[in-house]
Amino acid sequence: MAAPVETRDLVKVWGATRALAGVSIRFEPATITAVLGPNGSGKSTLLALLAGLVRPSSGRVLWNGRDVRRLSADWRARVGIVGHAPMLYPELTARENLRVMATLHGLADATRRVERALDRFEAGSFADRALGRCSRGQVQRVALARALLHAPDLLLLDEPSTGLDVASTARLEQAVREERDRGAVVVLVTHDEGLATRLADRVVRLQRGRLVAEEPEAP
Amino acid sequence: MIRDGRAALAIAAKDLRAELRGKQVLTLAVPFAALLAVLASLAFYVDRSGARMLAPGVMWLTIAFVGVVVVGRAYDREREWEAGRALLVSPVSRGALWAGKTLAAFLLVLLVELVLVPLVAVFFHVELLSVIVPLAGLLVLGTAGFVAPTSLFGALGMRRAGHDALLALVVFPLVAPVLLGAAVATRELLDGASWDDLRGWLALLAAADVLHVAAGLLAFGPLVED
Repeated sequence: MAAPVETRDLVKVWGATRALAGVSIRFEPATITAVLGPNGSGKSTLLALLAGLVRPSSGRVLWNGRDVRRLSADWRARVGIVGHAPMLYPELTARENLRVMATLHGLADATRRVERALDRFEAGSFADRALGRCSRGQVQRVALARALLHAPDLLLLDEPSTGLDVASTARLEQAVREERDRGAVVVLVTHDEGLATRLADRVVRLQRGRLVAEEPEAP
Repeated sequence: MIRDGRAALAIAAKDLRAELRGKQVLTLAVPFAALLAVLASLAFYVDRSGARMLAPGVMWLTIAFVGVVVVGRAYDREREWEAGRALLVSPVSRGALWAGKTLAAFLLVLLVELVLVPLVAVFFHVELLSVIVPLAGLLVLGTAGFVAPTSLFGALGMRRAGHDALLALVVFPLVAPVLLGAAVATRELLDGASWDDLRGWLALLAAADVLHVAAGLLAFGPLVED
C-alpha cells in the first residue's frame, strides 16, 4: 500500500513569474485527485515538482513524511508519468522502448515485466514495429505500459487524453482506475472537466499558483 | 555504480539504435564532412607539403561542426515525443544519463571520422598508414574532450527548442583549448613528430578529458533540473 504524498507551502518561481505561491495539498493512496485550473494556474509546475523534475523555490514535497528531494532516485523509482506526449522513442519498437525503461528502473525480471505489460495493454501484435509507424492509440497504449511497468506508487497524469479517440480514452480511464484500486496515489492534471468528473475521487482547483478549492474538502 | 553503468550503456545503445535506424544525423554529417574536405582541398591547395599542413585544421574544424550537429540531434530526440521527461523521472542518476548520451554521441562522431579522415588523407596527401596509431589516439582523446562539454550544454535542448545557437556560443570557447591542442598535435604528427614528441600533447588532452567528463557527471543534474 502506497503512502500519502503531501506538498507543504510549495513555492516555485520561474524568473519573475511565481508559478506556485505556497500550495499545501495532501494526495491520498487509492485516490484519484484531479488538479484543475486555467492556463498559468501552476498545474504543470505542481506536477513537475511532484515528479522531482524541478526543485522548489521553497516548501517541500513529502512522501511518508520524508522530503522527496532527499530520497531523489529512490523517490523517482516510485513515480510513473503519462502525458499528452507519449514520452517514447519513435524509431524504436514498443518492446525496445519498454526494455530500455525496464533497464533504467533496474527491474530484475525485466523480460517478464515487459511481456506482461505488452499483454495487459494488448500491444503484442505491434510490439516489434517502430512506434513512429503505429497509430496514436497504439502509441498511447505503449505509453501507459511504460508508465506502469514498475508498478509506481505515484502515478502522474498530465493532460493524458489529449488527442485520443473514444476507445483509447476509455482504455486510459480503465488503466487509471486499476492503478487506483491497486493502492497508488493518482494525480490527474487536466483542463477536461468531463474527464475529471468521470475519473476523480477528489478535485482540487488552482488559480494563479494558489489552491482555491477542494472538493470534497480535506478533513 | 554497476546499475548506473548498466543504465548509461542502455541509454547509449538506445541512442545508437535510434540513429542507425533513422539515420537522421549520419545522412547529414557524412556528406557534410566529405563536402568540407573536398571544398577545402580545392580552395586551399598550394602544393603537396602545404596541403599536408592544412589537413589538421580541416579535420578538426569538420569534427567540431559535426560534433555540434550530433549532440544537438541527440537531445532533440529527447524532446521530440518528450521521451526525455520519462528519462528524467526514472531513478537513473543524472551522471549516468549524461554518460549514456555522451557515449553515444562520441561513438557517432568517431563513426563520421572513419569516413572523414581517409578522405582528408587522400585530398591532402597524408601518409595515413605510418601515423595511424598515434592519430587514432589523438582523434579519440580530442573527440572525447570536445563531445563531453558539448553534451553537457546540449542538455539544455532537452527542455526547449532552438538551443543550437546558444550551444555553439557557450561550447566553442570552452572547447577551444582541446580543439587547438588536438589540431596542433595532429600537425606535429603529420610533420614527422615521434611518440615522445607527442607525449605532452596526449597528456594535455587526456587531462582535459578527465576534467570535462568530471564536469559533465557533476553538472548535468543541476543543469536539467532548473
